[in-house]
Amino acid sequence: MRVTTVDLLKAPQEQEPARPSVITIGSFDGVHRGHRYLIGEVADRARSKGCEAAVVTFDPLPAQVIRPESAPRSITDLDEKLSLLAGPDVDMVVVLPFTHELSRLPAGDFLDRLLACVRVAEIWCGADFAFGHGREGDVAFLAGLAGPRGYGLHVVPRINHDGRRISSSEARSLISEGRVREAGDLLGHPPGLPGIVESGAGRGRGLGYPTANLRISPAHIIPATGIYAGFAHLGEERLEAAISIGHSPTFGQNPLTVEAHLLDFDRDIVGREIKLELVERLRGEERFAGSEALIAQMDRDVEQVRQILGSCRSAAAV
Amino acid sequence: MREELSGVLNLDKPVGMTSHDAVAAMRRLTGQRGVGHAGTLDPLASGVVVMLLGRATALSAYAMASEKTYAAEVCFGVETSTEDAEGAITAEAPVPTLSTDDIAERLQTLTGDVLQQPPRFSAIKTAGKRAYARARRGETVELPPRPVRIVEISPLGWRPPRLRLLVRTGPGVYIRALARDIGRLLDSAAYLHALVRLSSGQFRLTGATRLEGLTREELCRRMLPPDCVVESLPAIVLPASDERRARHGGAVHVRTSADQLEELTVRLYGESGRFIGLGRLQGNTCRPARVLEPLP
Repeated sequence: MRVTTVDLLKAPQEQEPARPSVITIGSFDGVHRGHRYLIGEVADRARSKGCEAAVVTFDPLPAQVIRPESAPRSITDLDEKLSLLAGPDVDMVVVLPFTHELSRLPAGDFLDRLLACVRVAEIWCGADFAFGHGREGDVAFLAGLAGPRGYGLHVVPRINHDGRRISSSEARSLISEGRVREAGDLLGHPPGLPGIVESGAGRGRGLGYPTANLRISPAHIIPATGIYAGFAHLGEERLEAAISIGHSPTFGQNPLTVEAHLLDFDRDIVGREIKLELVERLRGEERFAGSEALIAQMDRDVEQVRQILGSCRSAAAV
Repeated sequence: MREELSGVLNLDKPVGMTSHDAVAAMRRLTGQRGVGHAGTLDPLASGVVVMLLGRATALSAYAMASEKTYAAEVCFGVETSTEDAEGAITAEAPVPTLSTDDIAERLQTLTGDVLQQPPRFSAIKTAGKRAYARARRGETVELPPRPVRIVEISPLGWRPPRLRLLVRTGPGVYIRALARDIGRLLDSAAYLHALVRLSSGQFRLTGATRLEGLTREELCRRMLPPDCVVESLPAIVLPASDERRARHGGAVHVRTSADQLEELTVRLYGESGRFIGLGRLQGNTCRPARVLEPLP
């Protein structure tokens, strides 16, 4: 899978690639089941027409540029998105850096600039898709220009999963409520939380449960406070983790932290990037009478994490 | 008691909900009875349903008359009793082997001012009962064909047995019935597999409000004033004395540059810019037809 970054506001670069593409355009935040269905259709179509399958995506989320004060946070940052898109289906990802200037481009200009940069045979999109200034470029708009601009248009109706609408905003509200198991079911993969390990208060080590404290991008969604079972990806390693998101109320008032205790692991990883995958929420955040009560609960939490992730592992083996 | 809300909301109805369920949800949210919608969308379909609240319900006839666009997915091979994916199979036929261009050309014969045979499972009343209620009881339902306008049908992808379409219609068109007719037109059988309403009048899906998690505050923020559904009608501003008369339903004298011979529906506003309602203008006389706000 090739990844190219294209600035539509600059003069068109040479068309890339030589082979025409079947493309789909969107934010693809969370790369959920609906996105995957659409991308699967694009890939099938591209194979049967001898075309490339391309995903054109914005970074960051357009709303985070247009109305930062009320914009949703991202389920996936660009790295996560690209690793979820990687696979046999997608030949090329075109990343469009989203800026205020780009947001002011009328839909027709946007489309023409895109067509000048990418050789497009067909555009595939969902019924909700819209682009350009004021979201003027909707399905009806794309249909009107299909003939004159010489591309085919395929519109995929909305997809439901177990009677639930599949959408990034639906997944976001589940994640904010801490319902990560359901969010994972809707997305088709557990929600992730990437961050950089910072040195923390060192409190966990004193309690017998050393933790990696993560610095999270302010644009990334963070699940509700509580204790979670999940995995931590550290380079090529995938480690089991008991994750705490909260304010450490047993030790007074603290800012929100994301801490991961990596099971059967004791190395210094300060400064490293890790990505957490949240599988299930065990409980809400609680304030304990003292360290002893807290340690006793952490013993039980870690045991529960092993059980949950163990069944995850065996399910994967089946 | 909270103040009754009056206005128009472009709602994105989810799949699985009837249009009446959406009205009921809006009634719960607002705590008011006065809620209506401007054009039914089947439970299996999703997308734009224009909701009218409070005094805006008086304008429903105008909101309903608007043009609608849909993204539809038609599945060939079978016809069903309900003409969608819910019904029992009533006919089978081979899937057409035509090219997209051939299909596009043949579909043109379905456009224009045409007669449409409504589905047996429809909310149209026949001898005082809903057609679907009779159909469910096993009665034979014969609904007379109705004149409708199909403005455009364009293929948006053909992957047999599924044909995806952009459909633009006037009011009162059943897309399920259109799917059935497309099947027959192409010497096959077909039903409506999925449907999304992309727009109704000036309201587009890309600006629609989702029902999930909607609060009263958010509703108030997103609601548009009642007169937005009659934007295309000419507007007349009345002087204060005439405004009082018009609000009581009295005819007022209006000076127009050329005498209006044909009766014309107009929007009426007070000097302050407040929307009074609709009036019928003929000659130099305007008779209020729908007054939205009674005098305090």
